[in-house]
Amino acid sequence: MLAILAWRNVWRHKGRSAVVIGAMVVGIWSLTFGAAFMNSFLLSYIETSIRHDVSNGQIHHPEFTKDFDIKFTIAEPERIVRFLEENESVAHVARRSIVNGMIASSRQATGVKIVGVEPAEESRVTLLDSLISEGSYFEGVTGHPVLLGRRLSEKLKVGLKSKIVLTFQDVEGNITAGSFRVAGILDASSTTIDEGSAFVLREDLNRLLGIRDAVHEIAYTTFPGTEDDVLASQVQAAFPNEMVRSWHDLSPLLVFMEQWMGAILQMLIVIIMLALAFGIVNTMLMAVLERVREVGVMIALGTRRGRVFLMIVIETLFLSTAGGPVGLLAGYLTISWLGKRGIDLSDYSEGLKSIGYESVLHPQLFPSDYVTIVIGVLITAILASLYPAWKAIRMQPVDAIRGV
Amino acid sequence: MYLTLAYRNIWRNRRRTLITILSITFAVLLACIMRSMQLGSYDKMIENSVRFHTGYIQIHKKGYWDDKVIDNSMPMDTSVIQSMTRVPGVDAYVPRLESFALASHGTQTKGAMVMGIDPEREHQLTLLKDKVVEGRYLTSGDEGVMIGQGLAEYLKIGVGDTLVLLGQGYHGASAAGLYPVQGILRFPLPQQNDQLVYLSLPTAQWLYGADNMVTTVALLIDDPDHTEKIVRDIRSQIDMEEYEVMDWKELVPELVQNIELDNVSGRIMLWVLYLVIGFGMFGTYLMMTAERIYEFGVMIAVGMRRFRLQGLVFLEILMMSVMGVLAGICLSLPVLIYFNKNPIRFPEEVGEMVETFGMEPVYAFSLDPVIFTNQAYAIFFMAIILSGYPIWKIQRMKVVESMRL
Repeated sequence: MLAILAWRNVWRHKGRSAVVIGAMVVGIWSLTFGAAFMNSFLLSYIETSIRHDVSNGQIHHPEFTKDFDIKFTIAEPERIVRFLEENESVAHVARRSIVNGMIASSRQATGVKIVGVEPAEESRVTLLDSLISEGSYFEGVTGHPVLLGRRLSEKLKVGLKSKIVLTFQDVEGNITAGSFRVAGILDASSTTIDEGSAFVLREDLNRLLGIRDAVHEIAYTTFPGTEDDVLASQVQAAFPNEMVRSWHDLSPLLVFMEQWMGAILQMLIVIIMLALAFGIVNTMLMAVLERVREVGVMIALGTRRGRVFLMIVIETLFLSTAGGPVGLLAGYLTISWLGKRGIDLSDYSEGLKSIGYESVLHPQLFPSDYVTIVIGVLITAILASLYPAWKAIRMQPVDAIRGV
Repeated sequence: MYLTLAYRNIWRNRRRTLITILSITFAVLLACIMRSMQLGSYDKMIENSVRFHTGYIQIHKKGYWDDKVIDNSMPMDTSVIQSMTRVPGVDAYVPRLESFALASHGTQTKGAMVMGIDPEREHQLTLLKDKVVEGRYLTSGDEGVMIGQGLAEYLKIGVGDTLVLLGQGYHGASAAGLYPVQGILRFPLPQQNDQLVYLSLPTAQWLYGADNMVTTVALLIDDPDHTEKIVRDIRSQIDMEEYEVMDWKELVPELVQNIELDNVSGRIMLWVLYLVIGFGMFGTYLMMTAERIYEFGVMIAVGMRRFRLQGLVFLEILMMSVMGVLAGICLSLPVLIYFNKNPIRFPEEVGEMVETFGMEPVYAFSLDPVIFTNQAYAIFFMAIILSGYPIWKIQRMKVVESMRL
């Protein structure tokens, strides 16, 4: 009964109700869109990072991760690779040898992480070949090829085919050096690749290190939708002597960014909800004060104040939830459309790539975000209805009927 | 005449006016809070990477920044230093000799960033002393080193052990030396923690054979907002053929980019807020017009021209908007000052993660005056635009119907 009364009240003043409902539709639509847009920055960063840098998971000798001592190689790399390749969620696998050392040109010297890769495997796992902007992928030079990031090459003042010298300790602890020629320059958004790494052939590096066919790192990518943490622990269980980590553990920076952005987004949502609530309170307050006489009569005729209170709360809820589903649907459609199409920001921010983002963003919201928004809107609506309702039942019937 | 009329009109129905003014006030308050929080978080990011690392302004020999080799170092010229420190706003100068070397201990070797510093001055700028987790901080005459914790772990070196540094010195001289580790430093950023080696300036100059030379002079200034003016002043003071003066925007362009990028989504959220606020305000205007439609009808019926009535309503809205916006600023000011002094902390679990990266886990609020003026303009503008509705309504209304109520 109360609900019917409230429902009819909503439609007594169509224009006003339309504004509140419209505010909810637009508010929720824009809120979901804004949140998805902010999310897209983060996801783009994480995705780029996983794709070109950390991969979905990595395997090392447990000691190797502590001090990068090259003698800690993976015990049975062939068996692990076979195990991974047989797993359904694993897309590609790459083996690497790694040593920290110094890179020197005729002009400059700096510290560098030297990565020995298998070109074919690496192009599938980190798409390393797609980053080549000048020269070619380990080809076209006489002698041992090396790939450098753009910034590192600028720092060293070297170009294609320039000679560079890599210096590091071999497995016996002797300082060894090898000369390489720059076969290609990489344009990467990740600073690790751009200024901190030199990629060489694994066979070249292993020979200099004196570790024959040993492997320091196995990286793998997974198909979309894989629970990377679960997979990592499965692999870990199969090879208890090695250390298996998913990107969550490999890159705490990504987790940090996730958390930091999440905290900021939460606060922004709270502020927008407050604004939404204020709009509702305002309109309902006016609606109630406009009906002073009517409510006075209801109370005078014997309607209990509790029921009047409830009636106004229900009325507000009707108003505010009528727009909710429409707004959510509109938001969902916009996001899916833009998510597929992508927003091209390359004109807006030229250096986007240099700081680790792709220039085309794909807004995206997770189901859990929708749930958060729905709950948030419901709480907002209920809270917003309390004050007008309280204002209504505080009236003295006699004064109210006499007119204020 | 119209002014008096408008003023009396808005106070005729006190309740309705108050609700309208309040909706504008609240709009200004929310917009200010949101923008202040966004700008505040940028300030925090800047402070974290600039204040504790590069400093807001640096001076090098011309060409050093593009080609960071020790051959591009400059002599510590007292007259140049003096003319820099005389510039108002410069509190202190922090000289550094930065270069690269191989650091090794036992059988472990790793590339390291070597920083020759004036320990006391360095602490003024970067609070380096607070980073010491083991051993003790350098003094200016010390011949030992302090190294980052990550590097120490990699080299398996502790306080008291001897570190070997090997690199290339000034004008091709070879640089090699043995130094006792005197302190271990912990930095939140891995690239610092795993790479940095600190020596006292004279020791570093001796190692690199670069007597009395520095690569960098960082400046400690009184207020980050004065950066541009100070840079201009210094440029006019010293020989720009020989030196380069750079502010933090040039020193850490990635940070500027990152902030700009974040600002894109920040602005989108701000527009979302405007949209929601706009609807709330529109609701009150709608109610106001509906309530007064009878009154408008009477006014026109007794001979008031529509455009005069529209002007009157516009004046009323203008007055209410001015009052609302002013009240909004008056209200935002104490609120923002309070949050600026007592920032809200992040939820616990998020906070810990953030703290390990050297960021303070708080929602920082900025007090930049631009926030207040911009948000006040924006909301005021919106209030005025929305007045189009009652004006349109007056234009369209039919007098007889409106009085038939």
